[in-house]
Amino acid sequence: MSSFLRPAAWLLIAAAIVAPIAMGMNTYYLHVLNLAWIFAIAALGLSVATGVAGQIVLGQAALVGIGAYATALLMMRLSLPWWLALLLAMVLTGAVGAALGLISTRIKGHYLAIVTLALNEIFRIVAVNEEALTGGPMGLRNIPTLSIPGLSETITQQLYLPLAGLMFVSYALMIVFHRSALGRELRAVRDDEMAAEAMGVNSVRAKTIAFMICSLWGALSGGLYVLLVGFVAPTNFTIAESIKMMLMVVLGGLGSIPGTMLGAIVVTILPEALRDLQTYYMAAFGAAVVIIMLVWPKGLGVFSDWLWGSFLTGRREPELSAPAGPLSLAAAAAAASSALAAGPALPETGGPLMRVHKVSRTFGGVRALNDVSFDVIRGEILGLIGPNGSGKSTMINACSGVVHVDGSIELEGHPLQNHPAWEVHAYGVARIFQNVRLWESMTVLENVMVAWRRVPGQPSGEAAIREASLAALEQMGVRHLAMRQAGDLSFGQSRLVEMARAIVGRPKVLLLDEPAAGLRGGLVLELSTILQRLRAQGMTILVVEHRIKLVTSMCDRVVVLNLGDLIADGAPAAVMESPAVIEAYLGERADAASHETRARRIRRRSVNHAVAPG
Amino acid sequence: MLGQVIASGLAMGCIYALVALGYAYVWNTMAIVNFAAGEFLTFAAYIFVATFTMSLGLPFWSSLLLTAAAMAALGALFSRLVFARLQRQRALVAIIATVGFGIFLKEMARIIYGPEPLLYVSPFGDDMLDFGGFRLSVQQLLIMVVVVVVMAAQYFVLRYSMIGKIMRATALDRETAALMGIPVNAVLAGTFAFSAVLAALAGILLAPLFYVTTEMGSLVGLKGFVAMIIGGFGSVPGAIVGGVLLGVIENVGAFAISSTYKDAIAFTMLLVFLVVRPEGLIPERSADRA
Repeated sequence: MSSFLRPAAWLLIAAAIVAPIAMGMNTYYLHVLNLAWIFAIAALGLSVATGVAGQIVLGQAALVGIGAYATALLMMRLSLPWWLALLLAMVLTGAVGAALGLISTRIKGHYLAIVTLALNEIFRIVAVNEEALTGGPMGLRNIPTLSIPGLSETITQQLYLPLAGLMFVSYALMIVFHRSALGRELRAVRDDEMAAEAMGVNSVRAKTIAFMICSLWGALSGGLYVLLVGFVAPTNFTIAESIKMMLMVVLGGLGSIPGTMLGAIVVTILPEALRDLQTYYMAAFGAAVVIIMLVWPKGLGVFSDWLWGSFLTGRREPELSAPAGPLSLAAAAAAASSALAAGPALPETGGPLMRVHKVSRTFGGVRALNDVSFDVIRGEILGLIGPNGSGKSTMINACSGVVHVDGSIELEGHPLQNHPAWEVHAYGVARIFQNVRLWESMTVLENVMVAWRRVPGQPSGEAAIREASLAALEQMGVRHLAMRQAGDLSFGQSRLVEMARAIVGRPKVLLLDEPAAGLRGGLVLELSTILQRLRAQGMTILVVEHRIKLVTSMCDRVVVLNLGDLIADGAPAAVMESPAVIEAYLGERADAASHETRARRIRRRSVNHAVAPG
Repeated sequence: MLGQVIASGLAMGCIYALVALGYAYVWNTMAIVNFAAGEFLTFAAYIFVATFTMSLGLPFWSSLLLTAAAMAALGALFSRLVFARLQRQRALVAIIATVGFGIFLKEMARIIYGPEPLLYVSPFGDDMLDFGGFRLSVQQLLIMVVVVVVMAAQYFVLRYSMIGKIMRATALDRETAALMGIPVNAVLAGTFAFSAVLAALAGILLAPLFYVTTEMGSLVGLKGFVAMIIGGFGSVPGAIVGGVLLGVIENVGAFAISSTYKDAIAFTMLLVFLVVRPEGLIPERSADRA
C-alpha cells in the first residue's frame, strides 16, 4: 500500500509543479511561485544551521542580502558573467558564514539569537547608508537578469522550471547530507554538545560548517533573486524577512529538511492566497508561530518526511527481535565469559598508561580536586571511589577533557589536560556520563556511529562504521534496539547504549561514571563480566562506583578520594581496611583498635546497598 | 554640547535599564528571554496614548496607572497561556515563540490603532531646566526620576518584603519552593506581569520623545537585551548599569562618529563585550554544571 502511495504522491507533486507553466498561468502567480522556490533555498540553509545543528540564526535575510548585493555588484561593476558573479558571491558569503560560525563557538543560545539579529540590523543600516556602494535606500536597479531564450517569452516563465528543479536538487543534496557522518555530528551537537565533544565531535568545526552551509544557500538564494528580478533594496532583507524564513523552518517541523520546503511554499504562497485579508495576515502569522510552537512542534515535517521517506532516515530495517528478558545483558555476559575462557590470556599489564599528576580544580571557593596524583596501569581495572562530593566526577570530567584543571594528565606521554574533549577522545579516551547523555532525537545506531573513530589498519567507510557500531551494541546486549530512537529508551537501556557508544572507537582508556546505576541488582555482576571482557580486548578501565561489592569483585586496584584529596591507593581489600577510608565514609575518627569492626560494617552496608532496589 | 549628549544618553539609558530589568526578572524566575518585550513596550505606548489619553481624555497619572494595570493583565495572561508552557522546551522553541508573539502584538497595534504615527505631547511641557550649565529637558528629568524610584522600590521589595523572599526562593529552586507551599505559577505570572509593567513604563516615558509607531519598541527591546548582556545576564544591578552605560556610549558614539550609525554602534558594543567580557560587568553568580 505505502509502496504505491509514495510514488503516486510524487507524480502528483510533479504534475502540480509543471501544471502552472504548461497551462500558461498568469505571470504574476508564476512570479510568486518563483519566489517560493527561491525562499525555499534560503530557508534550506537556515534549516541546516538551526534545525539540524541547533544554532539559532535570526539573521538569514542579511546573508541572503550579502549574496544578492555581491552578485549584483560583481555583474554591474566588474561586468562578470552571471554564473561567475553568483559563484563568487557564494564564496564571499560563505566566508562571512564561516566567521559567524567561529563566533558561534563562543556565543550560544540566546546570545547567538541576539547577535544574529543585531548583525541583520547592522547590515540593513550599512545598506541604507553606504549609497556609493549599495545605492542607498533605493537600492540597485537595472541589474542584468538571466534569460534563457529557448524556454519561453518572459524571464518569469523562462526561469520557472530551472528554479523549481534547482530547489529540488538542493533539498535532495541536504537530505543526503543529513544522513552523512557530518550530518550526524551536527545533530549530536544540537542534542547535547558536551556529550558530542566528549565522544569525539569537533564542535568548532561542526558549527563552522553548519554556518557555511547556511550562508551558501542564503547567497545562492539572494543571487537567484537578483537574476530573476534585476533589483535589490535594503527592504528585502530586514529582520522581519529573517523571521519569516525562520517561520518556514519552524512550520516545516524544526529539524526536518523536507518539511522546510513545504514550510517555505506555504509561507510564500499563503499571503497571496489571503490577499483580501492582508491586514490580518501578519497578526495571524505571529499567532500561528506561537500556536505551532506550543501544540504542533513537528509541523509539516510529518508529511514531508514520509514523502522523502527512506532518503532521510536511511533504509528502514526490520527491527531485530527482542530477547526474552528485558535486557539481554545476561546473554552478552555469557558470550563475554566464554570469549574470555577461549581467548588468549590477559594482555600484558604493567607500566603506567595514564598519569594524573598534581591535578587541582576549584569551583568558586570549593576545591573539588586538590593535588591529586595517581597512575592508571595499562590493562587494569582501576576503581575510583569516595563519598559524595569527593571529586570523583570532576576527576572523570578532567580526564575526558570536559573540565579544565591545573596540573597534568598524560596518556602515553601525550598531555591531555585542558585539551578540547574531542582531541582527548581522539587519543583514545572514551567515557560514559553519570546521568546518561544520549543524543535523544537520533537512533541508537546513529548514537553509536557518531563516536566511531578510525583505527589504523581497520576498514573505514559508512558500511564499516555501521558494522562496528552494531558489533558494539551486540557486545552490550542491546543490538535489538539499534533502530529505536534514543529518547524512547529506559534508563538501564540508555546506560548500555552509552557503554556501546563509548567502546565503539576501541578506546585505550574507558572512563565509567557509575556504570551500574540503573541496572537491576542481578545484572550488576554480569556488567562486571563484560568489563573483564573489554579489558581482555585491550581497554584499560577507570570506574567510579558506589557499590563496594562490585568494586571489590572487579577492580584490580582502587584509589579513594575524599573532599578532593587522594586518601588511599592500593588493592581493594587493603584500601577498605585503611583508617583514613573508614573515617571518610563513617565521618568519625577511627582508632587502631576498632577499625577492623568498622571496616566490616562498611562492607556489610555496601552489600545491603547493592541488593536494595534502585 | 557634550554635556547635552550625555544627558540625553542617560535618559535613553534609563529606558534601556527598565527593559533590561524586565528581562532579568523573567530570566531569573523562568530562564526564558522574552523576545516580545519591545512589542510590549509598543503596545503599552499605544494603549496609553491612543486609548486612555486621546479617546478617553484621562489625565496623565490615571492613564499611566490604567496602562500599567492593562499591561500587567496582558503579561500575566501571556505568561499563563504561553510562557509557562515553553518552560520545558528547548531555548530555540521559546525564542521563536516569543518572537512570534511580538509580531502578533505589533500587528494588533497596527490593526487596532492604524498605521499612522501618533504624536503625544507631554503634559509636563518641553522646557529645558538648567543645572549650572548642564541642561536637561523636563521629560528627560522625569525619565530619570521614575527610573530611580522604580529601581529603589524593586530593590527594597525584593530585599525586605515577603513577596521578595517568595520570588527569590522561586528563582533559586522552583520545585523546593512549590513543596514549601509557594504558589509557583502565580509567582511566575506575577513576575511576568511586573516585567510587562516595566516595559509599559518605558513605553509611556518614550512616547513624548518620539512618535508612537508600531516600530518604536523593536529596537528598544533589542537594546534592552544588549544592556542586560553588557551588565551580566540575569543580574539586576547589571541590567541597570548596562542600560545606562549603553545609552550614554551609544549617544556619545553617535555624536563623535556618525549619527546614522547610532544603532550599529550599540550592536558593535554588544559584539565587543561578548568577545572581551562575555559574563558581563556584574555577573550573576552561576554554578559550574560540568
